[in-house]
Amino acid sequence: MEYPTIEQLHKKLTAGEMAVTTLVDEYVARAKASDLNAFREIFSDVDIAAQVATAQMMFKEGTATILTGMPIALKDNILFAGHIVSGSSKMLEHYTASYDATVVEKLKAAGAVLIGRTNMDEFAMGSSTENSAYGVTKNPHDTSKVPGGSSGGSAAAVAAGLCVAAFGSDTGGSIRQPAAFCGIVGLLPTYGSVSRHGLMALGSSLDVIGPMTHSVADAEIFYNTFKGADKYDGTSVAQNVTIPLKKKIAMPKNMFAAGGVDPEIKKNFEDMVEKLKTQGFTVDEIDLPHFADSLAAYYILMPAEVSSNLARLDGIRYGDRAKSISIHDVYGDTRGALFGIETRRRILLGTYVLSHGYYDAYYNKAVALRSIIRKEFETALEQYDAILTPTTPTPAFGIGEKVHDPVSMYLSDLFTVPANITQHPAISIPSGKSTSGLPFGVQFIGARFAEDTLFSLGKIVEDIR
Amino acid sequence: MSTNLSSDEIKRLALLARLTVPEAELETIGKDVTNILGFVDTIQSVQLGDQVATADGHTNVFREDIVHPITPAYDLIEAAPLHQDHFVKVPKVIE
Repeated sequence: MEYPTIEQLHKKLTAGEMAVTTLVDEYVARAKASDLNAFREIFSDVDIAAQVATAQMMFKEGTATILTGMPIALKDNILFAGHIVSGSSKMLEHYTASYDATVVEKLKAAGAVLIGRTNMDEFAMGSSTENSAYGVTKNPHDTSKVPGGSSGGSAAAVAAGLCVAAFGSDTGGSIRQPAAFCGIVGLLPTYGSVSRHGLMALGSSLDVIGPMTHSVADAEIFYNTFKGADKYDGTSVAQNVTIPLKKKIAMPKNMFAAGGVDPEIKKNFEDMVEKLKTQGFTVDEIDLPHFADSLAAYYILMPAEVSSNLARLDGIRYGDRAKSISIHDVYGDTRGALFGIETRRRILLGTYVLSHGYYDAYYNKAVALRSIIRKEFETALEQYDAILTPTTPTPAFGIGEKVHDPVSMYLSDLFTVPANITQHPAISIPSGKSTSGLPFGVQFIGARFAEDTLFSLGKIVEDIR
Repeated sequence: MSTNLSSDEIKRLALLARLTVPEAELETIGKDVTNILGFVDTIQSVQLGDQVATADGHTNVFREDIVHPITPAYDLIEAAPLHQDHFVKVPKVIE
């Protein structure tokens, strides 16, 4: 399964060797024929044809960008005006976006062709897409396995060549974990580097929109198209840091001590460390005493923010409404009937950790711990280019394997959550495959706004893996 | 401080969260939430030193208070499940 990169396709389009319509038709035909359940919806032929016409016009007028004519998929939590956006929830099954997300506006301006929206765990809560109200997405490498999540539909769509690139959103690993499971590149950009105007909020101190692509170069091209400050998102900032490569990589000491890491992943990771050393890198084990505590902090902070953010889904302003009479019953019955089980669990958990008597013991403690972890990372990243870990402790697991055990599902976020907690950027790059053919990924966590460093490191991994 | 959440406690949280939980689900969801709390309870043993809960590393973002045209309000109202004549219809609030 080797599909062309953005640069390769752009060359063909520019040279006139391929028409935009041919390119888009090829991807849309594959998307329509696919039985992976990667897409919630492929947009109408008329809709896609209009976008193709715009792209062709841009080539004709000489205003084409590198993304012009590229078939791109949206995650089902990013607003595209006039189109249904459901968060893969029953709650918003019939909700039509009334405006474009800023990232969508930027892609439209670049002449990209948005071909559909991809399946995800409900409101981005999950690591497998099994929490989608519309069925699980299958992993293209083994259809009995999950694609990861929450951006599992986007990962599967890219990996199976159903689009050239896709948007994901990452709150605790939702871009990087499915990227690793499906053998593609996924970037969690620095918190604040991408506008979230038009993204359905999950954990507002954690959420970032990012690219999911075939190659590191594609991730770089795609990311550079939609990053930047936005007046509609007060948390967005324009910053770009260029730091010369020190060729020094850190890895957290005792990373594998807790167990639970697949032996093949460990071996693959250790091989990667050796290969980096042959490229002149120093790889040091360093003390990050609270690295593993990130997960506990995350599963306090995230549900707390979820319980607050999802309060807006009350049956009054968006989506559907239960037929109950009293206002309390309308709220309760709408939310009870239309939220899936994981969403309800997290709302209750968030309500608990924010409630009187528990606030200090859970929420405030997690906020304080967050500052400690953040400082540990900042100190390490002054001396090192990046912190290296495997992206996930295991390769893609079986459909149904963890769905009834939330805690074991949460443990698959072990290596991805710390970057969200500290608001640093991180990239997952495919690093090999298991004996049974399932992809592995390695992850670099970089200094804030130093995405360029991550792209440089990622390209090196692509050469030596 | 791990606690076993009883069905009554789940009911209380559900009321606070405006989330109807069916009777049949109270026990399983109580067990799930208890397990998750047991898992995050490792945070209780973390030594925080003098670190307090603070939004460090962030500064407020200000902008000029200028009116910009945005999505027409009617479009937003039409996203509501029940609406009539450009008003959102809500259940009776005051008995």
